[in-house]
Amino acid sequence: MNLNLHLRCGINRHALHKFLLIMKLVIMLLTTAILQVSAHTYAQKITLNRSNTPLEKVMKEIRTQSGYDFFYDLEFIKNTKPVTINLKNATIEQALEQSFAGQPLTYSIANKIVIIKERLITAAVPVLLDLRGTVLDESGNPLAGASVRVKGSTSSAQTNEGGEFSLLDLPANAVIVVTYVGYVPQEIKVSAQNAANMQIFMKAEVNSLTDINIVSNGYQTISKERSAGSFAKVDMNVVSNRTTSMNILQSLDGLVPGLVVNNAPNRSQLMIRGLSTTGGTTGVGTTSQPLYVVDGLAVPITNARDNFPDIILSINPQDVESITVLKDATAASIWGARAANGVIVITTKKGTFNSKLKINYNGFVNFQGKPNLDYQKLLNSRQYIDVAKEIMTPAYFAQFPYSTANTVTGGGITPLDYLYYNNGLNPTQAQLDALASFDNRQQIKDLFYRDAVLSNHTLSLNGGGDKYTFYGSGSYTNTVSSAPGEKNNNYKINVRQDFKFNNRLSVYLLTDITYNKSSAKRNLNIDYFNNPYQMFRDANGNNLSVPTMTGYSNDVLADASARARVSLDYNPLDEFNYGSTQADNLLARLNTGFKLNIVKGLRIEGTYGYIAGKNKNTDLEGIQSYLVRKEVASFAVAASPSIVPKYYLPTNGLSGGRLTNINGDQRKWDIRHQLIYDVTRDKHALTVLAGQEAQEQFSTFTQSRVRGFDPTLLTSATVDYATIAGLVTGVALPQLAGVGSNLINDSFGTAETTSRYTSYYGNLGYTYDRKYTLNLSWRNDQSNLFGKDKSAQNKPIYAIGTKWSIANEDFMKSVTWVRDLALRATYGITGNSPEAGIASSQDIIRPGSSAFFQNGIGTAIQTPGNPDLSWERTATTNIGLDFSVLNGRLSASVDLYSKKSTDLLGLIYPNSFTGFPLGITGNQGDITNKGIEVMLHSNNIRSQNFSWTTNWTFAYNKSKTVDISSFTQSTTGAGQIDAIAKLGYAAYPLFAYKYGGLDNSGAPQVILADGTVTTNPTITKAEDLLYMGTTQPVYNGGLSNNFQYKAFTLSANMVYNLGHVMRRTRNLSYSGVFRRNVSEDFLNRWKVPGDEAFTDIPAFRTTSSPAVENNYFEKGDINVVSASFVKLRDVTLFYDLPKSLVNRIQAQGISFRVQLSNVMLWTKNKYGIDPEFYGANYTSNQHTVTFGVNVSL
Amino acid sequence: MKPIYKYTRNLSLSILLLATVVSCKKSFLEIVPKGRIIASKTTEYDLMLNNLDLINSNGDNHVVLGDEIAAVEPAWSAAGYRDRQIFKYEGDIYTQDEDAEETLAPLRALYIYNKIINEVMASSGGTEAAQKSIRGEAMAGRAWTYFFLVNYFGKPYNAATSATDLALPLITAADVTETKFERATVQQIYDLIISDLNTAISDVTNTGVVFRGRISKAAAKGLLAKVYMSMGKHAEALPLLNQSIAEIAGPGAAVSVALYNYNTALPGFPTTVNDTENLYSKSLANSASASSNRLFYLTPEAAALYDPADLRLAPTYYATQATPVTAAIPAGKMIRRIVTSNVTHFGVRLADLYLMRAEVKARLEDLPGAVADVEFLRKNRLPNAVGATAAKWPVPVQIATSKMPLIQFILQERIREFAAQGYRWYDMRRLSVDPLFEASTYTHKVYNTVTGLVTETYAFKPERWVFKFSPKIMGENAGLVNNP
Repeated sequence: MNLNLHLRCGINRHALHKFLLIMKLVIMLLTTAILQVSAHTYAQKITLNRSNTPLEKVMKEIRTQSGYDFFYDLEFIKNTKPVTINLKNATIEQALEQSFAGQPLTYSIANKIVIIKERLITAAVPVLLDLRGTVLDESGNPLAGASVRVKGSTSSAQTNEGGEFSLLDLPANAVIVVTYVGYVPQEIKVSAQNAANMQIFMKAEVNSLTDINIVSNGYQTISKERSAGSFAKVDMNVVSNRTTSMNILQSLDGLVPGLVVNNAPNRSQLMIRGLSTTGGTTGVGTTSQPLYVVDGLAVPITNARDNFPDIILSINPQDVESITVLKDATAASIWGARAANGVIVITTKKGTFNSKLKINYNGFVNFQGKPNLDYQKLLNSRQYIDVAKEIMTPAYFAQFPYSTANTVTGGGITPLDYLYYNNGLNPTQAQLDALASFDNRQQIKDLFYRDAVLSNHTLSLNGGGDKYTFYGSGSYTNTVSSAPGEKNNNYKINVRQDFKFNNRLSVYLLTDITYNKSSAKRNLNIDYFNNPYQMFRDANGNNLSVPTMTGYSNDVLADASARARVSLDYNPLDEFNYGSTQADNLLARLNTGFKLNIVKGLRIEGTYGYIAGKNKNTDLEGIQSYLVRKEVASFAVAASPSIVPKYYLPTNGLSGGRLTNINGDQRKWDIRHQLIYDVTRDKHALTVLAGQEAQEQFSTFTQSRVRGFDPTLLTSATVDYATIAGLVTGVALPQLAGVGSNLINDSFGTAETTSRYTSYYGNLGYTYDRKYTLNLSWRNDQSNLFGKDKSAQNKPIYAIGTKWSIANEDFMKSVTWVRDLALRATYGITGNSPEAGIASSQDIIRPGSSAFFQNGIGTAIQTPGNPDLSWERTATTNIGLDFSVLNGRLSASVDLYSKKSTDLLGLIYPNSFTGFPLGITGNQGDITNKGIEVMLHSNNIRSQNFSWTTNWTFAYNKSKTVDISSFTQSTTGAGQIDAIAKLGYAAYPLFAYKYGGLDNSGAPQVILADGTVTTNPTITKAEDLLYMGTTQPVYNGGLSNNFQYKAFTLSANMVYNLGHVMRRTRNLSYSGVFRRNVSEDFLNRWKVPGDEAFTDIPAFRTTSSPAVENNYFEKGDINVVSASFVKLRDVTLFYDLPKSLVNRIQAQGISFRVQLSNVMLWTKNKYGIDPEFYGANYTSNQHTVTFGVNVSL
Repeated sequence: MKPIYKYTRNLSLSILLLATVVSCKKSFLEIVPKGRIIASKTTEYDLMLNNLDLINSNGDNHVVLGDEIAAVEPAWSAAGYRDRQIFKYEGDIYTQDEDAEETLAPLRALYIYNKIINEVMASSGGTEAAQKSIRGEAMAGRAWTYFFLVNYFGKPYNAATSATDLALPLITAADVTETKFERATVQQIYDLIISDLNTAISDVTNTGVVFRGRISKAAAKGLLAKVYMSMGKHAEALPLLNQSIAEIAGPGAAVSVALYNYNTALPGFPTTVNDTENLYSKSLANSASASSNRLFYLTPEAAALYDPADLRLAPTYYATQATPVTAAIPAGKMIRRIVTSNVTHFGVRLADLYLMRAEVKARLEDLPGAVADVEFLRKNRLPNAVGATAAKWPVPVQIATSKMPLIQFILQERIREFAAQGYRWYDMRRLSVDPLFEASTYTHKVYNTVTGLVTETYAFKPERWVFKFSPKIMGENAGLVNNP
């Protein structure tokens, strides 16, 4: 072999283009010795005068002048004749024609490459050709497993790992059909010229199934063909264009069968394949969230209570290359003890070797508007006053006499109350009418809300040479929330670099830095449940004081104000400027790793991750802030206004406000080493992987608070916490039961957590003859999550999976309409362990401080030890079928699964005699989840100018609690009504009382199992309740349709959640102080005997005797409604500028898009409840509009 | 053969490399966590005794059971289910899923005490004496908890029946997984209480009061005396009371324990660890004495026990007006609304020690000693002589010289001192088995504040000497026998 290869380095567009071509031809080098000559200039026209010159020299000259490369075998040149040539401004074709005239060689030109071959001697007999070729993707990477079939014959072949194939004894002019999942099939005529070294470049289908053949589980990228696991890859086209939120997880809605996304703001719950832990629902123990893996490393789950930036939220959806959801044990078990809820693997973009430099800009503006405050239908001011008049009877005021209301603990007196108290409990109609003439809704909407806008600009660059690639992006996100005064700017830089030192060693480095700066003023968080007549600004535009919102009566405020000599005026709109909150978050994610090929087939990989996050929160309550003034008054001792008060807290007069700083710090590192042995020999393909990883998560936060802070001088005052920690009596505005005030030293607080994990894992994949696949995986996790028995830690997790690729069987070769058909079956265990310090086999204690403790320090039991505690284990059986028929027109994956989660972690209720009847984290019982998932992709219409594709995901889940610990069972109706588990029922069951209507006193009645109708509040047993269904969707999924007509693309995504139920929120009032607005239904409540004949709504009662149970109504069967809904999540219209126009400005593509989000809603309930906003006071982010543009250069 | 050699080589290489990369230090996982710990050091067990769960309790239902309490309209009609049931001496006071106040906080306290008692001796870094002292404190705390629990659920101590009277389960282990609980007898509980307190008295380091939140020998002795008194063992109580009072300022004492003299200044509402009358802090949230209370008043009979000049009637503690303001309390009825702090101190209190000793001395025929003790308290509560006005604090002579009237007077002094604080019900319980006293009949009355008329009357039911276990507890413990 004589290999002589000259390469030019350096990145310019021409050179890059050339390298790409060279890459494509690398395969040829393996079989033929080829000399490639470099060129230095690129003249298009050739001028050449030579006589009797060796062909080789002539070729070099042509090469130099034309820029065309020549590929040929040195052996060929030996037998050539010298060339005499005379050219002036000739084309390459002319030059070649002259040079090769009479030579025993032939040539072909492709892509500025001249390939020279021996001229074949044509024979008279029919020639049978031996076809050898390589199937490559657009980037020149070999495609393994592509099918090459001879049209009209049963003869076919499959490409090997190198993308190579051969078909022997083909007739000349035979036509081969090359197919590969996710790629456009190609038909190629075989000729003598192309038979020896056919290169087939496959073009990817432009749809969701692009590169679906490769999936990543975070540890390795594997050919889907060789894995039996249930992986679901997300259509990134939809995800990156969804723009109502920068949270990439919310954008997964409806795209993955079996993944339920709760899309309501502030509730980010993702659930894969039903509930397999209940801890997350109770806020303790374990999470029901899947494990998130970003670029191969698990990221810590951040709770809202943590003062740390969230890594998932910091990911710019534009930077994401792929998202894979691992659902069954074979797919997920490599993640071990944290994978029971499934795994979501996010991989960010990287550059491609030997690619041109690409610049891409993507920007959008999403107009979200104001929240829909009218969502809950409440009384208007007139109705509210009328209703209040009915309620505020002498009996009502006997319960809430002025002497009670007008105290520190009275809860405040509203203007309406004052009308009564000041007028002998009998105001005139004119006075009431005057109040009713005000309605504050418009003011609330105008003054406390603004139009929300989300915008993002991302500029990215990527490219690569043969040794180096990069992807870099910078982005800016501006979140304008609906709260006036809030600012939120996010800046981000993300760079990924890959280095290929040689054939053995490659290294990558990922640098991802996010900086977020946000600030807020003191905007009043208010909705229409406020007193509707209470205005906030008068007709002259003056901001109004609203003392009733302080919770104190006017007299109490006046008295306290006079004694403390501090104004206690509360003016919500003025308060806006009296305080501020600033937050600075910095998050850096650094990943690096290497791949080292040791010997053929064996490589070692190292992955190293480091995440550092800093958070600084500065919260300033200014000198004028009501909160500060109130605090001063609460610690000012003066028996009367004439006495100079003794101040225990710094006062307004001296200096100012209260400054709270919170500094959070988080660090996480990962180290992973793994060995991979990859060998393909004959029909055997084996991949063995074994590795170890260690991880540490560390987080800490420090809070400090000073009072009397002067923001100009930056000084603060000292506070005698030792004194005020005890009860200070005689204060102007007592905080504690009207007796006095106390304040535990809150000047400093800190917390720190360190979690460490170490894990060992192994994984084996074996495929025989591309037909039969076996996957085995094993993992053992240990952690420092103290308090767990060592024995509980050494529970290895494993999975076994098999796959039968039926389409590759010989008997299927003739079935041409089936391109892909495979059957998968897997079984395995995954786990879920409780969070650190939450559940433990030994008592976990935490420090506490109190003035009641000797030296101020003590402890409390954080978690009582539960020696029976064990890890949650989920055994999953999965059977899957993948097929693709009709030339890929229709492809689908169907999965059937059965999951059994044992020792479910969640809140259990120990026997009351143990001291912890209020619940601890423990093992609740067993739950099963069974379901079907379908993912369907169909190319409905495929023509030159028009195409229509449909993606449909469907999931059905049925859960059942099959075992339950004795700690968890409720025997009483009251205990069962809100229980999260009940033996024999679905997870998240919803129970209801059988409502028996009202009795003749307006009291709600319940119908017991034996038919008794009663109002007795304590009589119900668990068995008296009706099972109404589950609150988790039974059927869920999405439907996407994409229409493309020339330059226009219309995409519509619909999501559906069906078959579940919810309680209807009634927003009524049945007793107590009437101060909060209520639903319009309140007008129809029971008022006088006889009303029970036509209303179900219980009476408003001023006395609690006899006792009534309004839950019989509120949680009755009549208030359980279907939660099913179908929402048109988004409709997007794309327009691609015509190529001619685009090229004129040196761009590759420019597209515009308009997206309408959350456009239409169909629900099964007739009350206008949007189940996504169940229980919310108002809805937001519905009917939003986005304008976006994408420019590639 | 070459391929086989190659594979073998590769495999060996793999194993070698794997062994290299996975070998990491064993100590990697053995780090000491911060913020949340598993107790192992003696000092950590010491800190465990500083716990709000051990100081605060929310059980105030027994307050309402006292015979000094009356209810008034209109609040009575609007009163909650439990307040009404308990006032009517009904046994069912909890809805089905409610956690009973009588058990919730005390049983959690038992968990902590049991944990300390069972583990501290094996802790590290402390001397045996220190460990024993911590264990002694926990035992005294456990005894205190059991003393109140046995009063809730077991019949008043009667030596004849205590071995068969059922109380509550005897729990001496801290274990949340335990599900089998059977009621022990009243005698078994008292045996544990006495044994715990005796161990505490011998093992606790400090004799005097070092900190009101922590047990001293003086406090433990006072508590044991109280236990003996409830068993009718007055002779055993006397020496303990003497020692307890004498040792308050004994070795180790770091805070002063003394009565507030109301003639000088009213103390207001000091917190439990700052109240100088406390030897040992325990407190409960008492809604019957909260300023927001409009439901429960002192009965006219209880109100009549006070001398009008009694400083304890200061407006800081009692209001003489009902609500609404316009409806004054009818003259002569003397129903007083209680406006004390809603925090009741019911640990070991100095006033209680003196009144207990006065009662014990009277019972043991030491009448002058008894008078001296009760007057010691009264000097701090009633006015001294001012000019021609005689001092109000002396015990009337005809009472001071006669045993039974003196005992009665001391018991009434207990009402005056501890009205609406829950002490009365414990006294009523022990008197119900006291041979010196005949069985009393008690009634609860509801008054109309406008007319002063009694609108409802409820007769005491003997089964209400004990609480019933809540429906929730009964649901959890299938075999448990409930009180009637």
